[in-house]
Amino acid sequence: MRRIVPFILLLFLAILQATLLNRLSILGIKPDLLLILVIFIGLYKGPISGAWCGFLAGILLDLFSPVSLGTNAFSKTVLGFLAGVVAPLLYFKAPLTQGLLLFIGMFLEGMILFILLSSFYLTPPFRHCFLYIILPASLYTSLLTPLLFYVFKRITPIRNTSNETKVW
Amino acid sequence: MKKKVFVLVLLILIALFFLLSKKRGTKLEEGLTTIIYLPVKVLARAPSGPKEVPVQGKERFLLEVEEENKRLRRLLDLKEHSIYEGLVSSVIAREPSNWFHALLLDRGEKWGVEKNSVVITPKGLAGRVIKANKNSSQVLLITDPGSEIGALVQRSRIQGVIQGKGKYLILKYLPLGADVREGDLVITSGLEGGLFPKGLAIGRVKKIEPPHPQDLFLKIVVIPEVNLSSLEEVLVLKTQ
Repeated sequence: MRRIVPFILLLFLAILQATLLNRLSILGIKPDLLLILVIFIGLYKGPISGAWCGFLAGILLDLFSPVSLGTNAFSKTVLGFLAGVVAPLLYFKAPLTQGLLLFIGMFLEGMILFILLSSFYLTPPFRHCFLYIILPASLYTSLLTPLLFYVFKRITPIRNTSNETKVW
Repeated sequence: MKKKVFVLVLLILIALFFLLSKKRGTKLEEGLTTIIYLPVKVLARAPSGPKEVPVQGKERFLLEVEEENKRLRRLLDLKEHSIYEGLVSSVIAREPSNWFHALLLDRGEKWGVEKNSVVITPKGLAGRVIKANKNSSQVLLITDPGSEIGALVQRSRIQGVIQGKGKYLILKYLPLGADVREGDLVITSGLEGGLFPKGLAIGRVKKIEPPHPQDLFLKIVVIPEVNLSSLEEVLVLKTQ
C-alpha cells in the first residue's frame, strides 16, 4: 500500500502546483514542489527511481502547460537521475545541503528549460529569464525544501538511504 | 550501471520524441488530460463553504455566493450585448511553471471552443485559446511574451502592436512623436486576419519611455484593463 504513496503524492503535488499554489506566489513566482519531490526520490532512492519520478512529474506538468508534451519530462528526468548519481557523494540530511541542492537543481532546470523553450517558443531574453524567473524561483524553492523533505520523509516508504530500494 | 544508463536514455528518448513531434491532442494525451483534469474540475466546482456552519460562516458563504452571482451576471450581460456568440467558462487551473502566462478553462471542443477562440471579460480582452481539448482548453493570456496583438490608441487611432511582458504590456511600433498620452485606452485593431475582433479594450497607457537617439519607435508601457491574476470566469467567443 505504501508503495503507491509516491504516485499519489506526485498527482497531489501536480494539482496543487496548478491550482492553489498561485496563492503562494511572490511577485508572480511560484516554487516547484514537484522538483523537490523528484530530487528527494533521486537522493533517497537512486538514479533510476529519480529518473522515473522526474519523467512522470514532468509529463503531469506538461499536461497543465501550453508547452509540448515532453518539455518538463526531459528536464526533470535528467535532474532526478543526477540527484541519484550525486547522492552517495553527499551528506544530504542537513537542511542547508537540501536547500543548496534544490537551488542548484532549479538553476540547472531553468537553464535546460530556457534552451528548450527558446528553441520552440517566443521567450524573453536570457537576462530577463535569469533575473526574473530562474533566480527567484530557485531561491523560493530552496527555502521550502527542508520543510517538504521532512514531510516527504514522513509519508513516503523510505527506510534506509542505501541506493536503489525500488519504489516504482 | 548499464541498467541505470539504459533507463535514463530510454526516458530521455521518449521525452524527446514527444517534444520533437510537437503533436498535441493525440488520443493518449486526450485520455491523460481527461483523467488528470477531473480532480481539478471537482476541486474548482466544490462549494465555497460548508452547508452546516455557524451564522458568521453562513454570512461569509452567502457573501461569496453573492459575489459569484454578480460576476456571472456581468458576464451574461456582456454575452447578451455582444455581437459575437459566447460561452461562459470557469478558470480551473493556471500554468504551473513560471515560464508562461496561461489558464485552463473547464470548457472545450464539446462546447464549441476552438483554437484561437478569443477570451474576454466584461472589462476587456484576456487572451486566446491556444489548445482546445475535448473537455477543457488552454488560454494564453495577453501578458505572455508570446502574445502579440494588433492594437490602436482609441483617442488618436494610431496603430501598433501590443506584446505581453509578464505583468504589463508593451505597445510597439508607434512612430516617434505619435499622439499618445498617459491614460489613453488601447483597443484591438482587428488587423491580424480577424483573430481578435476590433474594439476590445486591452489596457491603458501607463508610461511613455523617453526615446534614445537611435530609437525609431516609441516604447509605451500599457497596464491590462483586466486583472488577469484573479480571473475566475470568462467569456469565450466562438470563432467566426
